[in-house]
Amino acid sequence: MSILFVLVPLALILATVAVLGFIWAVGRGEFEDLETPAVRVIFEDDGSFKQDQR
Amino acid sequence: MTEQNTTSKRHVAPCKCAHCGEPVPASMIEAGAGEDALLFCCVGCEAVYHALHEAGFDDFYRFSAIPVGSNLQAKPSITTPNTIPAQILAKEATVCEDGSLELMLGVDGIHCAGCVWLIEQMPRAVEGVREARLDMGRGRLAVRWDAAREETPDEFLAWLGRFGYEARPLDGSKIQGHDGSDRAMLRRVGVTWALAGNVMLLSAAHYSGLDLESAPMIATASRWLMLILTTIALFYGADVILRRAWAAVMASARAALSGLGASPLSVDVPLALGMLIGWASSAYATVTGVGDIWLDSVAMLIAAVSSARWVQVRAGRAARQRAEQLLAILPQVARRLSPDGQVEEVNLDELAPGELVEVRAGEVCPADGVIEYGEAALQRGVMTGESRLEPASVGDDIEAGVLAADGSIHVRVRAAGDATRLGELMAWIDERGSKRAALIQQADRLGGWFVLAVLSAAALAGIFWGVSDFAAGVSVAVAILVVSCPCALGMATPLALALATGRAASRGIFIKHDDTLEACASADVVIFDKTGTLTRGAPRVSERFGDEGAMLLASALEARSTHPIASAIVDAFGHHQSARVEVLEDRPGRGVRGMVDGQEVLVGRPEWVIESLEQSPAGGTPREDILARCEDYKEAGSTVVMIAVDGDLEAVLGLDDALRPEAKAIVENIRAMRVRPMILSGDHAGAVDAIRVELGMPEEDVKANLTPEEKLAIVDELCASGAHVVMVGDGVNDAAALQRAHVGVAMSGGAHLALAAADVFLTGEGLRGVEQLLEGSRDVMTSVRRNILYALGYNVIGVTVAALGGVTPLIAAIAMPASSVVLLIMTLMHRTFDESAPLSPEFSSRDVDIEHRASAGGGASL
Repeated sequence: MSILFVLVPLALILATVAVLGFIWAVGRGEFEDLETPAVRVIFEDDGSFKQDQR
Repeated sequence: MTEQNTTSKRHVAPCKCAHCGEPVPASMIEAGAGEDALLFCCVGCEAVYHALHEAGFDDFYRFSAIPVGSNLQAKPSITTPNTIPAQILAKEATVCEDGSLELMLGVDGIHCAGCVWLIEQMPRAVEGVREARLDMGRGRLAVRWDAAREETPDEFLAWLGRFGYEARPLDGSKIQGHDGSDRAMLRRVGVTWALAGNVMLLSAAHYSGLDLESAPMIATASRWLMLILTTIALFYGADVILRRAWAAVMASARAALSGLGASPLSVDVPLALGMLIGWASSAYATVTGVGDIWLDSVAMLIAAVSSARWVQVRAGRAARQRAEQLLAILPQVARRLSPDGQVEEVNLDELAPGELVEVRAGEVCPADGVIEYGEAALQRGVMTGESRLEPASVGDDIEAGVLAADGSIHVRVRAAGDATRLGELMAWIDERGSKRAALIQQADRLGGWFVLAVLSAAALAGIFWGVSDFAAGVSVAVAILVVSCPCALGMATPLALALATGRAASRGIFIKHDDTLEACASADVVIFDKTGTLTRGAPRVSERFGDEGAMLLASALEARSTHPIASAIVDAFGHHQSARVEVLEDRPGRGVRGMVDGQEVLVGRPEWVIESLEQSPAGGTPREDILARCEDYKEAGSTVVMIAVDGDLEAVLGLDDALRPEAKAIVENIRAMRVRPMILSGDHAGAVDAIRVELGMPEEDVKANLTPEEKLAIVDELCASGAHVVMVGDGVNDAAALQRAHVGVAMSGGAHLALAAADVFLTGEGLRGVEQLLEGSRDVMTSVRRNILYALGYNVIGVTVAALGGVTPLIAAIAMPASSVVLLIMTLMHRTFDESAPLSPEFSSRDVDIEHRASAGGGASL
């Protein structure tokens, strides 16, 4: 059972990393606009609409 | 579905955009009807459609569920300043790492994916622009450009304007959440849920048998860990609730001490109390190793409450933002002319009455005043909602907020800053306060009673058990306080309101504050403005008498004019395309004289036409039948226009501002909801009475000839008599009444100011939104009442069981989240403003409109 003394803090450290990632993402404004990126995927990088690549 | 199939389907439904499926505004129907019978809602869609078509990518339309943008449809361009003053650039633009400048613009008229694509092409089209990123939902555009190229900002404004997008720089200090409060809130939600999750995981071990006897080391360590995590959650996540609760307690205590009687405690108090007691008793238990710990319940509660707050704040955001954006119109700098002719740019607040300012073409006038030099076409859309241009010259009044569309003028300032008409109205709008107090107090009173009930229950039960066993008494009291946490009371109501607000927004009903729905549900009286609300706000030819040929000639002549009456005549009789037209005289407010195919045609007010005829050498005889009809029309409340050809009176037209087609049904439905409809109009009695008869309303409910002050007085009187008043209007003359009524509803296409004054605004065409609002608000209040009943029921049971000593930390940890989840499901299942409900006849009213135009056009070509 003593392994828990390692595993639980390890789990918490992993959780902290995830939370820090979330805070970073919020700070960058990743959650400000949830609509436009969904639309943007249909544009190609060269400015045209995405064509079938087959 | 094949491509052909899709295309043909799109041809059958002509009033939907061929690209995005959004309804097509009337202006675009006129513009786009000629070409291959495809209609588009905006230039962006048209461009994208053709781009796709040329690239042979019509398959795009198989996935026609392109995420359609929010329905924030603006009417075509109102005030678009065509330059960004240097001061604004200096203040608002941020310098990026690579030395380029970035500016946030508010953009109107964004409909769909096509607009995003088009606008984000900006770096390709405008020299110097490095990046353009559009936030579709909020209509915000971040543009980054080369600081070295000074003309770039003006160029990209012009570029946007060319496609019909109205853009203006946003005032950073006025953007909600710009200070990072939105982000802080979201961060809080994420962090508290992570903490709550971990605390729950740890406590699961305790529930499944881990205790201090069997594994003292691990159990103690995990208890301490839970305490640390929950402490972070409490002082970081619940910080706002604790502060607000403390403020409420202090305010209440101060009021009690000063002998004013106890002021009600807000619902934050029981929330904070539950959290603190749960945390403190658990901390004591952890430190001493004796007693129960409730940390998982506390952490869950904090996470749930902070999420609920976040949802609540987000819900009304779109609506408020849009109103604020519309009012960010005043320039922040003025160009002052000193007596010696020098021009200097000064901040708006340095401007004083008596000074002279220059307003160049495309600029917004910064102050109220009189034009002293120059001529310009003014656009008063901010005040009146009218997008037509009005010519103005020396001696004419001009108000702050009015756009000089072309021509440069000098204006002698009469009032500046807050003293302007716009400033006064804005100040008025800002002071929201007293009128909502009643509703808030009601909720707070409930919270106050709740605290009292729970505290006395906890005290009684604690004493009862504590007499024999002190530890058991404390434990029971704590159990009561923790389990009775009014999560449901604190969360359910705002959540139901926020969800309804969001759903309403997707139907074109924008609600600025949650409590507006509460006020709507208890409405007794609905007051309508007439022009632009019950009616379309534009005259139409309703009566005609005399020679048809003369009417066609008149229409050909009027096609050269932009007056609304002229447009009505052209709409009714169509363009007389082949005619050679020469306008000889255009007298505003009287009429037009001109030559059409060699015949002299007079169109105008009867007095002016008759007078002109008498003066003319031909001296034609007035026809008695036409004069008689003229009198009839006047009596019916119509605006009368006479037509004379070559000196002879030939025809007479009666113009009415026609009722919206759905008005009668809406008024009847409102009455069926036992709400009293009323009309308050500034229009003259004849016209208003005609509408009254058509709607079948009793005389005492309809008042005409009112000034804005009289409207306000009537609203006040009704409010004072205890009625709950909903006011529906569209003009600046309604702004005050909209503000004063319990709920102000602004119609689409109204003045920006009316929009800002209102609590609700409708972006869909027509009145259907008013009915939906009333129905939806009643529905949502049923849901809220059910939620409150449920929450109280849960608490009564919870407190009873806890008082009997039946609530252990495990039961609390299950019961509390379960109660919230049940509540959430109940709220979500209650589909207020449901989209599957019978759809409003927005489309059908448009169809009528199109048919009308089509038949009018067909008639003319005969």
